[in-house]
Amino acid sequence: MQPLKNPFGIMDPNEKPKQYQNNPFDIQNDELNETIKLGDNVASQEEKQLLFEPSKLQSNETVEEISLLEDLDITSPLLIKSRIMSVLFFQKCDSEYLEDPDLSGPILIVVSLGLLPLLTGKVHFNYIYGIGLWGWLLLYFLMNFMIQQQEKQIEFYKILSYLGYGLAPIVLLSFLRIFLQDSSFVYALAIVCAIWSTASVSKTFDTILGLQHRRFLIAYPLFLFYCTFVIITIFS
Amino acid sequence: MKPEQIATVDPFDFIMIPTDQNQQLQFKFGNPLLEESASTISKKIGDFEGKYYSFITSLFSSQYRLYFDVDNQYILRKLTLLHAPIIYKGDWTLNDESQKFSQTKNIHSLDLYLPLMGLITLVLLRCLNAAISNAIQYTSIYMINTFWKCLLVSAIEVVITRILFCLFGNFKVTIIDLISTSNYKYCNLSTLYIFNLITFHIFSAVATIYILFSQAIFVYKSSQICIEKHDQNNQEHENSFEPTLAFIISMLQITCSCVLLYVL
Repeated sequence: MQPLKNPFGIMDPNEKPKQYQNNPFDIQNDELNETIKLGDNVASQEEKQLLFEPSKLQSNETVEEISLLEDLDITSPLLIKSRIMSVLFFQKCDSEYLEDPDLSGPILIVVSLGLLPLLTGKVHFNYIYGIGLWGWLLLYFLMNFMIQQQEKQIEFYKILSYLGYGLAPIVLLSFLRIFLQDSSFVYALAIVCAIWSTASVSKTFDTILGLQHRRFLIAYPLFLFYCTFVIITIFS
Repeated sequence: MKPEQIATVDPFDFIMIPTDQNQQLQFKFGNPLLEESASTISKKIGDFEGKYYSFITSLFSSQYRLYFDVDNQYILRKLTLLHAPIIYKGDWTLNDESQKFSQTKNIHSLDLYLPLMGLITLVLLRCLNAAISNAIQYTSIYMINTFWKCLLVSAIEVVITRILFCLFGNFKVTIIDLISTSNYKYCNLSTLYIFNLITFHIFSAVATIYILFSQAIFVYKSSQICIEKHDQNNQEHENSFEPTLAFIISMLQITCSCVLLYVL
């Protein structure tokens, strides 16, 4: 009796499957009747082993891959988070933030400040952006006029960045306002948030500008600026 | 113009830009005229940037910075002077022209920091009081309206004061000095507002009269800094209208304060 023919050919249990005999990455040259196997052109044996036994790759030899955001020099979310935490908890600011502040964090904060009241049915985008813009301009001129005696000047975007990050406590207040109703506790919380923002931002300005005998003169307009947002958040 | 279609099986090939159009685009973007116009525009932007920076630098280093050259001591003394001008007796005029711009040395010199802070404080206090008492529905609109009302009253006052100075023959007074002198009232009005809030309006009438009286004295004495002084050699031509002008300006200040108290 003839053995049954396997449609794939007569199988020898000792024979290895053909597809595993040769490496699929081997190059077959029929003209020269030769096979260029994977790893033949590799000079060192170590690299040859790595090709065939990738499990032996050591962890410290991994290729460093820069993320797209870092490659495009966009501030990572971790950096924004660290800067917001430095404002909220009065932590020491990194010198990189003081010298080259970013605007992505402030934009995120201002958009949040506009979006949170939407949960209570209030639309304040125009007032927040309008009052913020005018306040930013006034503070820009005021601070540059006040520090000109020291032959210093502070740029537009730096002030915008510092003021923007200082709005973080106000965003917190706006979030809590969703759940709290008008009461003396809310008013006290509002005052605390305004003072909180003022203290953190005036500390930043004091570090940069090195103002002597003028810290309260800088802090007061900042306090008024943040009180404006507090009034819009609480009472509108 | 329809894109030229290459004869292929793929029905969406019309989306792909054919090779000959690629060459057209390359020619277009590599056009020397386009490159020249781009370089001209970038040069103009660079020139504008340079002019802008030079303007900003000159603005912040000009004489206007002296109106913000204040410190903590000056602010405290000036606030005392505003609320109790009777304490400071004697001549408030400056001995030297250089003292006009020396806020830290002379308390009678003019600045713009206090008027600006006083204005914003008054607006916010008014909004806060109205919002707490539920007198308004839209706080933001009320804030902006209050601010513009104050600015309008101040502008009218400055214009009238300037006309008065011209009528009395004094053309050397600057608008900035007039703005500074006439807008110190916001500090007084803010103090009045806070006092009324604390005392629940019990002493409102007395406090209002005192504040208006203080403003009148302050403006009467401060306006003498702005009034031109004649030469000491020509004493026969001494300006006899000087006290009259100062008195009119102080009355104008009280009128504007009353208008603000009524409007706000």
